[in-house]
Amino acid sequence: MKMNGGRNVRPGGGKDMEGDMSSPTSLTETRHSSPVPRRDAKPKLAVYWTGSCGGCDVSFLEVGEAIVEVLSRVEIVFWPALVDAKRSDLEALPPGSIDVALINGVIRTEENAEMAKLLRAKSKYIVAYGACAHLGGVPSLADRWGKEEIFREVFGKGFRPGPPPGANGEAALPDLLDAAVPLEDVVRVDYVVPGCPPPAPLISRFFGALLGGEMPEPPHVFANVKALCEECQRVRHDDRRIERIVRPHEVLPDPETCLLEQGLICMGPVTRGGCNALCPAAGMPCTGCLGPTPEAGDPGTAMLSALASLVRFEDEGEEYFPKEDGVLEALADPLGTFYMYSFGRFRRKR
Amino acid sequence: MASVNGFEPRIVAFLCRWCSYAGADLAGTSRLKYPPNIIPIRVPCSGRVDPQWVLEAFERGADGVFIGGCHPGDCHYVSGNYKTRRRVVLLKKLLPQLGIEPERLRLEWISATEGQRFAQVVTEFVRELKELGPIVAGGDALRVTRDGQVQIER
Amino acid sequence: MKKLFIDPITRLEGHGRILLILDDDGKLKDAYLQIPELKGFELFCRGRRGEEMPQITERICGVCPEAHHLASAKCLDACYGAEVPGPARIQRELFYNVYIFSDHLLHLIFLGGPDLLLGADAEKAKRNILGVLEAYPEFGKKVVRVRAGAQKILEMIGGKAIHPVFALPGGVAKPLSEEDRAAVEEKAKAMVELAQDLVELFHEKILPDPSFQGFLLAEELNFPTHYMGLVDEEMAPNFYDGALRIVSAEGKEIYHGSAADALELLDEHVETWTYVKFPYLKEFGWMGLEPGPNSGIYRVGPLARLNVAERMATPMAQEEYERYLDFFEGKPVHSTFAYHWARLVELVQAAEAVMALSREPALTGEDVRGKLGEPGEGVGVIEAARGTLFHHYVLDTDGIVTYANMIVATTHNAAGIGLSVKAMAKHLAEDGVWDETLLNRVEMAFRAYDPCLACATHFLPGEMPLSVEIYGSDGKLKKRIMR
Repeated sequence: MKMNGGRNVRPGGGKDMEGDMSSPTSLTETRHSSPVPRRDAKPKLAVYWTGSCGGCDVSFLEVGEAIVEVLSRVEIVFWPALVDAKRSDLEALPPGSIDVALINGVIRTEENAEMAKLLRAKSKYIVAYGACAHLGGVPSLADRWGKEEIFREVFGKGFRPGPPPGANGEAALPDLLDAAVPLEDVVRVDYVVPGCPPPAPLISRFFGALLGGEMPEPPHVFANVKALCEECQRVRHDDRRIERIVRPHEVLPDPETCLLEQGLICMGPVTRGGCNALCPAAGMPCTGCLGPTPEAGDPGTAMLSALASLVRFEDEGEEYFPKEDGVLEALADPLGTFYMYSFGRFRRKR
Repeated sequence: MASVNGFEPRIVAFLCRWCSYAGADLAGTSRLKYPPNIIPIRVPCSGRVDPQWVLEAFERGADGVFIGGCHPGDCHYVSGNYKTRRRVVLLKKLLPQLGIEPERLRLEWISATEGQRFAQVVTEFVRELKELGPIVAGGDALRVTRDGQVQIER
Repeated sequence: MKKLFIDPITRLEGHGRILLILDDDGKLKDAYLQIPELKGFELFCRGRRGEEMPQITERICGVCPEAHHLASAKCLDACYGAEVPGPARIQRELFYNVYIFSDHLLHLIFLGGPDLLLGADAEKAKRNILGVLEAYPEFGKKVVRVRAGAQKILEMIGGKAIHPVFALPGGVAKPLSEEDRAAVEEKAKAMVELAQDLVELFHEKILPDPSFQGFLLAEELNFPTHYMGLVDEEMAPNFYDGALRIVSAEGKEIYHGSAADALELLDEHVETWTYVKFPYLKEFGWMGLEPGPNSGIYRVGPLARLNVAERMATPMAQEEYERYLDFFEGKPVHSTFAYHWARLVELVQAAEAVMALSREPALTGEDVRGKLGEPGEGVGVIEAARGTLFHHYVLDTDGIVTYANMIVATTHNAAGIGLSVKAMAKHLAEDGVWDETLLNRVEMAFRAYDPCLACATHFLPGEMPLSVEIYGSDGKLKKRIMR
């Protein structure tokens, strides 16, 4: 089942959302050329979760007391986590009447895809909020397998979703799609607020722009274009090399120095900044949740290349091959390391 | 040379212009016979080969990917081939996780004068791939354990 | 025959729909809570590095990621045969109590709470946090402020508040600085104060409300089940660690021992109309979606924890616990809506625990990593806000996951929630007039459990026989179709 409306997947992808963003099979779509509401307007907001964990919905509260002001300056028309508007209320809205819909979660079931398309039709602007909507997220690691295998693993052979007894065949359980896909594979996406979940500074960046009437022209990603390393507090040495690869439970890292230099696989070099490098500050390597920089493209192959360049000793040559191999061998689970949030976007089988 | 069930593997070959591409040319001008299964792509250096291209070749159905570079010490750009070598080591760890046998990726050092060797290596590679069969990327995940065993996950 | 759909259910974590089937007189025939989500974590955790599991499995739920993070870490401790040194243990336990406080608070104010604070008949558009902020402006802001403080503690210790990064096999990432410890202690004071405010608010506004009392004591909503939870050596609830205790619907102890071993006592049942499975106690068997002392259905979470405990671990919480037991005249308490009160009691204990732990001298200790043995198989158990959570992994010699299974709180409660929804629908169905506020009251029945449905769609893999069961309007099993 082709979920991307015929658009070819760009292997180097992620070019800051430039390029063709044409939407496939949505319902009536209104594309508005004027920027999002003026300073004095109260934008109509919808927040919806598809294949989510709920973290993105809770993340709005991470801006602290500022959330009270934000909530007072928007009109929430649909947000199942917090308010009681139902699907029928959403369906009754005129097309394009919602100013901004923030959709989080990976598109995992038929219902997720339906709701995404419904929101697209009712909204001027769609925001892919969080890593799952942006890149597929952690659940897209399941894309190594199709839905049959998932059903078989979880329920045993022969499971088919169906309706409750006595419901006359209605209200059947929505089927899984064969793969968990990012939002842009189903509807046109105007903005991205990345992260797992989006960190407070980026949420503030988004609402600041929205409520200040300063939204950039879509498409736009609300995160730094430069890599995490630029804002990380740790010290990097110009002549750095990686002479061993270690796993976090094997070492107590020095708190001042770059983690990559110490042999921990930190995705910082290929990941967008904007989160204040919280994880490296906590002593743990970045796992790449803000997604790749436009420069990096595919975070996995970019990081793989980076490691291939950095793993070396004082010189290179045939005599160093066995030592180099010894170091490289210690890289465990490259797939999980490189594509923890982005397997659905970059590596799923099509 | 027809295979048992008619399967002819398709191989994308990235060949560096200074050494291995010249070696392949030499095989041609020397009228050496070798299986016609490769699609050669000339690159300035084997170090130019982006791992992305390797994965994409497999995703688009290549049964094998071949990278030809200069012998260690002979790289025109001094150390390009050293990077290639390390990238291939890492790619061979990633490929089984995507359901692709690591043997489908092959790195060889072939100099401009090694026309014979080029023909030999390609012949060998085609034979191995015929035994492996067509690529089924995204099939059962494979794991390469610490002692080099390839196991099917689950 | 008429069908009423509540789609989606709101003010909880996760996707759900409720289907009410009515006969031509508007009388309730049947009610189903359907969970239409499924992700398959058990499948894609295979091949992952063991030490990444705390960060991978916490993506099961962004409302209770801390629970998965630490259940996972405890499981890894077991896999590696590691003993967690004092400073790491206290960091984890303090962090965890902050999480319990914050999660319970989230529910009380943002999710289930609005129905109680504003009344079940409040206007739909106001029946939410916005309505709470409007009706209680100063208090509402205080809640947001104190919660932000709690989240800051989670960030200080855990790296991030949502989807923390700090737990590792055998310990935690790094020591806590004295500066951070002092900040934690400061914020803990605000947490304890807010806990007291909430108790006052509950007794002034919520408990006296006749509607609430009605739900609390309604017969249909007081159906008996068995109960499960972790207790410490004093038989008080401990969220982070302890022995597992299972108590029967009549209050008799069925089990008291290792939580890991207790997995043997459970089995599961599948229905094709929902992705959640229904665990039950093997000893009693699956008797269908029926409550009672002879049914295998059990519950977890605040109501259950207060039933399996003999006392609370901290003084203020103990005081409120005694008021609670007084009201219900002993235990086990079966009332669905008592979940709200039990949650409040736990919130008080969590706040007091944070205060006490923030003053532990060992909290800033340097020894944060225990020695690791060879990786193998292990089980980790913890009390998430919503109930008992099990993580079970098998690691190979490289520390890579070859098997993972997670049994989460809301799954244990799946049957209980279904029963409460049905009971509520029955309780309200007398006059047969189904308007919007009535439908919201049906939703209040699941909100009491504070369910986490993203969590709930995780279960034991296996080859269970499938059975579809049809219940008549009298609640009796009419037909069972086996496959």
